[in-house]
Amino acid sequence: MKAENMIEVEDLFLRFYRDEGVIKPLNGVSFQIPTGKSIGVVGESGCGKTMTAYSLLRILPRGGEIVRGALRFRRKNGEIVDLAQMDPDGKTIKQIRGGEIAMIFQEPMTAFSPVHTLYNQISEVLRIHSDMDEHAIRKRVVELLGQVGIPEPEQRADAYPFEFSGGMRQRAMIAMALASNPRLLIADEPTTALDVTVQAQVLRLIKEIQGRFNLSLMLITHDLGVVAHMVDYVYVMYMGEVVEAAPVAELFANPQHPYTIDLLHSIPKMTGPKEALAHIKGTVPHGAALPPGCMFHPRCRKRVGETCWTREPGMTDLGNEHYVRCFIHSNAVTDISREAEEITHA
Amino acid sequence: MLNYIARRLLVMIPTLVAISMLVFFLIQLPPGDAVTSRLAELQAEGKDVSEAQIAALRARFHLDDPMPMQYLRWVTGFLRGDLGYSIVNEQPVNTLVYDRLGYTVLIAIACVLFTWVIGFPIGFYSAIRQYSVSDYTFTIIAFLGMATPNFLLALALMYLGHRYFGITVGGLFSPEYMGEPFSFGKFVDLLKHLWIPMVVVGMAGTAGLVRVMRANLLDELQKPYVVTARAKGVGNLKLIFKYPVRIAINPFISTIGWMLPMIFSGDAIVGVVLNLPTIGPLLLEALMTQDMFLAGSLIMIMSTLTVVGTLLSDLALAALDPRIRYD
Repeated sequence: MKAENMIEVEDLFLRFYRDEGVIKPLNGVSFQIPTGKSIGVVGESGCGKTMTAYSLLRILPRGGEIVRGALRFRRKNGEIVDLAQMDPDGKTIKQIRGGEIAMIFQEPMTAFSPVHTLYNQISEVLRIHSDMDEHAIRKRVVELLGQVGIPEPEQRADAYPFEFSGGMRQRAMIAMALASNPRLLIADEPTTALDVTVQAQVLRLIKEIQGRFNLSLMLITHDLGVVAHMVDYVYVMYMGEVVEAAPVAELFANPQHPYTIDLLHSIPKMTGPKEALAHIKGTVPHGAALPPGCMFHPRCRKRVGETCWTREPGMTDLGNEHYVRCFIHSNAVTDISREAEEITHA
Repeated sequence: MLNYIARRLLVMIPTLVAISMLVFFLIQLPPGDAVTSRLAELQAEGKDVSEAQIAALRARFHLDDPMPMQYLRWVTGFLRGDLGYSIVNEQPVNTLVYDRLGYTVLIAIACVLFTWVIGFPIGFYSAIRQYSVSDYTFTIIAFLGMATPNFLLALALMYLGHRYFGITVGGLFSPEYMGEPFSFGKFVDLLKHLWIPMVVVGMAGTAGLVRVMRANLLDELQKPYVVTARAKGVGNLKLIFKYPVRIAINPFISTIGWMLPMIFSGDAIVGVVLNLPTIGPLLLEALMTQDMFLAGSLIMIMSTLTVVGTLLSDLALAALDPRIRYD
């Protein structure tokens, strides 16, 4: 494991064994998050972003199994563990969940229990992961609520989630995630359910907190606009695979994968003449039947030929930490055309 | 909150007045009255009843007064704690109710406990082990339990109890203990008999509770707050009890008050089949013989308990669910 990395995900395969067949949400995902850095994971709904996060915490829904791959994580005490090998009900993973890796969820209303106070739910993290006494816990929760910008935290701590607005609830969710000083923060579509005006505030808060506490951040979103301001490095996912990875500025300036290009085109523009919003034709195929070859080929506008559905593209290094999984940039195409030439010549 | 309770209690008064009028009116609707059915009964026993006796009976119970007068007499008696007089049983309603109330409540509470003690754990287990062999087994048993008519099960259990355990058929006591003062032997005898009504009445309730508990809990187990709690590192069992179970039992707590009238009357049909000294069969008989004061008073008590029970339910739910406010 590289010294600067907090977490390394390598070749992760996830399967759900269901009555209706085997569902394949993750098909060899690899990425790293350096300590104190932030990465974005983008892609359409159903491409495996959330399942990747759930795999890290080992909180997969029933029937979900990691069948291959490693999830190397550097713990607070410096020990390097493979989360993929752990018993999901074991003691170690429970210490890591909420204690070292914390997660912020999409819908702050339903992500809190409606019948317990925020204090009850936030203090639970400290009860599990620290040996503070009641007095210290109270102080810490109020301090956390203050840090995330909740006014009158001393009184508001005892409120119920329904007494908070959406933005305030998400702030409380962030406070809960920070409670036990995690090293890695996973934010799964943290602003999707919020008003646009509040979105910016919450994102700013996440960024500020990430910097202040030197957290590693994994930001999951389908919104490339969010990614642009928030992270250092971006992974574009499609059908459980990383199809392109690049530093954020490089990705926007110089997108290479047809899928990334389509995603960028489908961001609404605020300026210029009005035109129909571009979209990617078709939908993400169901995880039970993966397309052969390159998984994006049925929707791709730049298919180069038979190769696209007969061979699986590998990652090509374009330099500048920019990687892409497409035959346009791999030698495979030329190899094959050369072979074809040789055959015709023979 | 006191304000709220006071307001609810005030609203209860017109509600109960309306119910009492309706009850009195409905009981008078069929042709004939308690005296005619008492007469038929006496004649069936071969006794002759003179015109003068009939007239005396009718005069005694003011049966020929105008209806509003009769109603007022009955209702004002209610306020004094006098439930009227059972013409057919020739006893005050107070005595009839008092004699049976103890056993009725005993049996009803035994049934409720049986239902909960069996129903909640099975429903819980079925939900967290959804689609397992044990879940399917419990589901089949629960559907059988719901589909089996109570009285049929009562007959079957009476037969089995008599054939294989030597328990006397029906009633709450063996003949040798009837009319005896309470002793340890009598208590044991009571327990021997009590399980049959408990199982019979409890069975359908248990089966229903298993299904509802399972469905409620399955709904809650999929809620995002469960994922949040797991992501915090909360242990599995602790998590299930603290969050989804806490919310899944709300519907049960919110209907707890509705059990009051049930506890008061007991199950009528099962009471008849098993010959239980409970109030349910008494009400059934009163309705059949048009024993108006007895029937009317019993229905009034049950209505009052229903209204009070609803208030209790609302208070319980408000205490349990912070989203509910009193204004």
